[in-house]
Parts: sequence; structure tokens; C-alpha cells
Amino acid sequence: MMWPANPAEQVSLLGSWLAGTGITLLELTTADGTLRLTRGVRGLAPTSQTQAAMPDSVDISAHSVGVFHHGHPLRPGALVRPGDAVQAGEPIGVLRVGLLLLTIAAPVDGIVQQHLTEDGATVGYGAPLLRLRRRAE
Amino acid sequence: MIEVLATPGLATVQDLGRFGSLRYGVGTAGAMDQMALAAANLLLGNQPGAASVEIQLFPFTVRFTADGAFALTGADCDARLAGRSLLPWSVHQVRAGNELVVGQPVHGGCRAYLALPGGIDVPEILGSRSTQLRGGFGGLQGRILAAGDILKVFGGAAGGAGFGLVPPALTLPLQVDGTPAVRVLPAAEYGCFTAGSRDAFWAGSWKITSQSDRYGFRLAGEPLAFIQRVEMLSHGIVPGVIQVPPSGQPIIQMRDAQPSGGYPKFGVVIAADLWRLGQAPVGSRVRFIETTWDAALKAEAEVEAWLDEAARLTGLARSLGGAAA
Repeated sequence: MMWPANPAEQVSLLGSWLAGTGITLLELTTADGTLRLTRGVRGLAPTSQTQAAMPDSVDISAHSVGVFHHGHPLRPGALVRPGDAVQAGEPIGVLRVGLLLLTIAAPVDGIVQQHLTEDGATVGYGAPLLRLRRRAE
Repeated sequence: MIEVLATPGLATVQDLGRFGSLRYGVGTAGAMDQMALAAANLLLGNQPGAASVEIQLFPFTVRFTADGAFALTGADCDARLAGRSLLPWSVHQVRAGNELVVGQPVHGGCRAYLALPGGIDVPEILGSRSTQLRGGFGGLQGRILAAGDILKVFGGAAGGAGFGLVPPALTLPLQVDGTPAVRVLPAAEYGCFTAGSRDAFWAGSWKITSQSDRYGFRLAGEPLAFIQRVEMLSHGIVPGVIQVPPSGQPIIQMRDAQPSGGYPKFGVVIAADLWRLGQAPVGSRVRFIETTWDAALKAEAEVEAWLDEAARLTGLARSLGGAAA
């Protein structure tokens, strides 16, 4: 694919690439300035990035690139461990992007089965982070 | 937007401080940990100096009277919203009627900052909304918050939740032999102390005694000895100045310090490090690092860079949340 010389076409091309992904925000900074493309999607990103690994379990995935931490940097230990009961909305880890800490929240009530990514690992968008078993209704 | 339900005392409304009024005898006041106050505001999309609540004694309990958001930074407290444990240094969504209990600091630090959308709506007096306790003005009626107080906010488009910042204590750490440290410029009367005392000041660790508060920190350690007795007229002083009374045990002036004093000045804690002292609890120890004017300016630039980066990234996180909502 040819990289167009016209800035308007460049933006259009970047937009078409974004459309094929779940990425909601692209920020590009060059010597000339900053370009920010955002895209509307349904639902809050953290809760929308889940998938049924097995009928009664839910895998929580990264809604951004970043470094996945099982705990908060100010606190010792992991926020949750296998066997812990969690409620929907409860933090189960954080994604660090520079100074920013994006909270990863449980999308549903459940029991933590296992971490799917090691503490301190750099993850890409959509990487599976933690498996929850749904709490019996 | 919030009602104070219970407070053990000493919580006040603070912003970054009141500048330009020292000539009238009005001290600066303002948050003891300016980084935490600015970060709490940036998390909400406020101006970094918007008025917030500084909490020094725990538990501090408020009820939200409207849906909205808040950010809590500073000391990592056992904080619960509607019974649910909160991550520190983060922004949270809240529903009308929810209660927030800011419990004891659990992992270091001693002062917490509660920021609200647009900042707290109290009158600006002499260019600041900070509580000036000595003068009885600023903040909410110039006084410490009490149960039953209602704090209104300016409001605004504060959106987003589910993100926070890595505290500057972790990204800009400063310690000597495992003890928290601050950088100090020697001051006008530094030469009036014996060489042995000057060396001992830099080499020793100093205890922050129970006679320490927003006005000043009284330290305990190896007493500083004057070469000869020094008598001075009262003169202007600012937060950070380290005075030495005849006892030889230094006093660091803090945010509620009066703007003049007559004790000899050993040094001054650089402005870029005052926030570190703001989180040093009574009974803890502190070390001093001798620094230079140029290094102090560089430290100030690092603090500015941290705040600029925090502003950029929190803006990014809000637009992420906004796009996804």
C-alpha cells in the first residue's frame, strides 16, 4: 500500500485501518503537531472486551496496550488471587501506560480462576489477562 | 455536592496557595502536598489548582448529594465508596446518596486529597480559595470542616472513571539510605553554625516530632551549635525555611507559617520537594541533601514535566472513556 503524500488522505487511510480494529483512540505526535482520532463503540471498553472461553467462564482482555500488573504499585501483592470472589466492577489489575494506570475491572460477578498474563508483562490490545468463572445464579 | 458526615478534625479546603500577600502579613496556606492536589484535579479534568479537601485525620466520611465523580490522591488510605474498596490515586464515578469513607493511611503518607468536578465553590479571597486558619478566612468560612457542612462544586464536564496515576513518590523517588529525603539550599545564616554541626545536619536523620503540623515541623536530632550567639530582627520567611531557635533543634516552616520570624535560617527546603515533606508523618524520619540553585531549578522543571505528562495522559484517558461510552 502506498503512503499518500496528501495529509487529508493520510488521515483517511489511518481511519480505515482503525475501522478494522477495536481500537477507540489513536494519537500520533510529530514535530508538526498532534493528531488524535477517536471512534465510538458500544459499552465501556473494559467490559466490552470479554469473551466466553468456556460456557461458564469469562476471559478479561486488555482494552489498551500497556504493562499488566496484578496489583497496584503502591500496594504489596495482587489485587485478586485464584479462588477469590469478585463483584462486577471490582478492580482485578491495572494496565500501566507511562504515568497512567488503567483499571481493569471484573465485567461480571465471579470467582477468579487464573491470571492469563504474568505480572509486569507488556501486553497488546485484546490480550487475555484473567479468567473468571461465573458465579452460579 | 458533598455533605460532611463525620470528621475527626483538621480537614480544610485548600488550593495551591495564596501568593502575593506576604506583605500584608498573610501567609500562603495551600495544600501540604501540592503534587497530590494537582494530580487529583488533573484526574477529573480540573485546573490543577482547583480547591479540594485536604484530609489529615481519619476516618473522614462524606455523602454525595448528586451523581458525579471524584478523585482521591495523596496518602494511600483504606477508602471505601458505598462499602467497596477503592484503588488510590484514581478517579471514580459516584451516585447520589453514596457514602465515601476515607480511612486510615495504610501504605505510607499522611494526607489525602479529595477533588470534585470543577473544584469546590468557595469564595476566592486575595487570589486563593485556601483556608487561612490564622486569619479565619478563605476555604469554608475560614475554618476546619465540621460534620453537617455542605460543599458545593463548580461542576463541569468531568467524565471518565477507571483510571489513575502512578504517584510521583514512585516515579520521582528521593531517599538516602532508605530514609525519605528532601533537598536543601544553605541559607543566609548557614555560616553561623559550627562546621561539625553543619556536617551533622547533612549526615544525620531527623525525627519529625509530635509538635509538627501545617504551620511547621519541629525536628529532633543532634542539636545545631552556633559559633556565637546570633540576634536578629524579624524578617520575611517563606514555607520551606529551616530556622534554628536557641535549642539548636530546627523548625521547618510549612504552608500555614506566618510570613516573618526572627530565628537564624540554616537552609531552605527547595520548593520542588515540599510536597514530600507534606506526606511525612509525625514520628517518621527525614534526611537532608545539600543542593545548589541550578539543581533546585532542575528539580522544579522535573515536577513541571511530571504535571504536564499527567495532564496529557489523563486527557487521553478521558477521551478514551468518552469514545467508549
